[in-house]
Amino acid sequence: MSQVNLLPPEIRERQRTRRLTSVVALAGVVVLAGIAFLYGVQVLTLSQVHQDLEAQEAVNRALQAEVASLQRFADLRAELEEKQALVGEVFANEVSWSGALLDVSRLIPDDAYLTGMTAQITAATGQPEVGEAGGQLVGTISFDGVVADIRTLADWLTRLEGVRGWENAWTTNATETAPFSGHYTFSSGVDLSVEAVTRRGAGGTP
Amino acid sequence: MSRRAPILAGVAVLVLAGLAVFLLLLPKVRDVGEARAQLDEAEAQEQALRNQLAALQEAREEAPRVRQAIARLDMQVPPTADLPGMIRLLAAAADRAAVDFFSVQPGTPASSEGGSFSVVPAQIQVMGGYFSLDEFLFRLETLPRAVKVTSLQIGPGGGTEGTEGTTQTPSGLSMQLSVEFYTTDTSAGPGSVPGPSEGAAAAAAAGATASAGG
Repeated sequence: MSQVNLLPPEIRERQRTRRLTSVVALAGVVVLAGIAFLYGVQVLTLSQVHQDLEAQEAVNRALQAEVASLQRFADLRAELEEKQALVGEVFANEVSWSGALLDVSRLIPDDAYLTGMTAQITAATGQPEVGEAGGQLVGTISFDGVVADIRTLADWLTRLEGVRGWENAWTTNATETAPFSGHYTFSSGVDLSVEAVTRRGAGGTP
Repeated sequence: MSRRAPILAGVAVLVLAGLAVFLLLLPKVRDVGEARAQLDEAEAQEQALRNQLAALQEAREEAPRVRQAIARLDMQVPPTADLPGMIRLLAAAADRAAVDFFSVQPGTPASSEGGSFSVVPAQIQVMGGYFSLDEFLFRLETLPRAVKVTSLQIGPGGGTEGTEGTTQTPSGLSMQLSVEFYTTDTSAGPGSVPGPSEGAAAAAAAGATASAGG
């Protein structure tokens, strides 16, 4: 069954326009309601985040107070590190001379004896040589003595080279005490490399 | 009703929606973002504080050991030159090593290059057998106070310059040592401000006071 609209066309057009306007207005209201909903969600979220932030800041304040109360232990540790650095500086390039004397007593050939010994650290206090490019020398030892045979002097120099940290064994003079006596007075010495430095002198634990 | 009414309504809706989004919604979203960032930062700070706290609690547990170590280091490099204590230590070392403690000549303390401590140089002469001298050196190296032998000279007993005519020990060896003692008192020595002082600034202040006050 077909329908027949008897309204005049202008009234029909007005109704159509009113309906369309209503639809647009309704859509607008829906959109604005959506925006309002999203806004509400954001407000609630912001409130929740602020609450969380306040709680977190309260926790942090409590932790900070606890940290502040324990700070003196960190200061104590810092003081220890400072003093360890100072003692390390003081002992820098230290050589164990007692060990050196023991080494000499082991090295000296049976047919030789020393009449004098001089040793010194040439590197300055507080200026560690260890750890820099190899080959640094920290001191010297020189010996004066008498050998019963010139070959013994060669043996002595060879033995000097055998000690860890003792380098450049040399002799500056070897003179026979009297013609055909076979006995020679000599002056010799070694340089001390960083390997001769004690553990604490090299920056290790004292 | 005009035919343009729906268009006008649409435009009005769009304008209202735009205004609502830009003036209300977006600022709030931005506020939420900022608040969340602050929260994240606060949470990260909490983690950092907890780590710091753990380290400090560990430091608290280690405190007795650290205090002992500091006391030991203070003994090695004391806050004053303490010459009497130094002499007693040397004499005890000589007694234990069975050497004759012949002479000691402490020099004037000098500030180190960094200014953090003073070096007290001294010349020591002892006499004894070879292994007694060795023992004395070992005792010096293991003294509770830091001492470094910077040079040594060993020769026949009493034969060195300035020691002629002295009584020689049977083994006849004499050892001349240059040693260094240390103190954190950067104004140590005769004419300085009495008592401990530390660091270059303290030394400068002490120097100024010393020159002002004699």
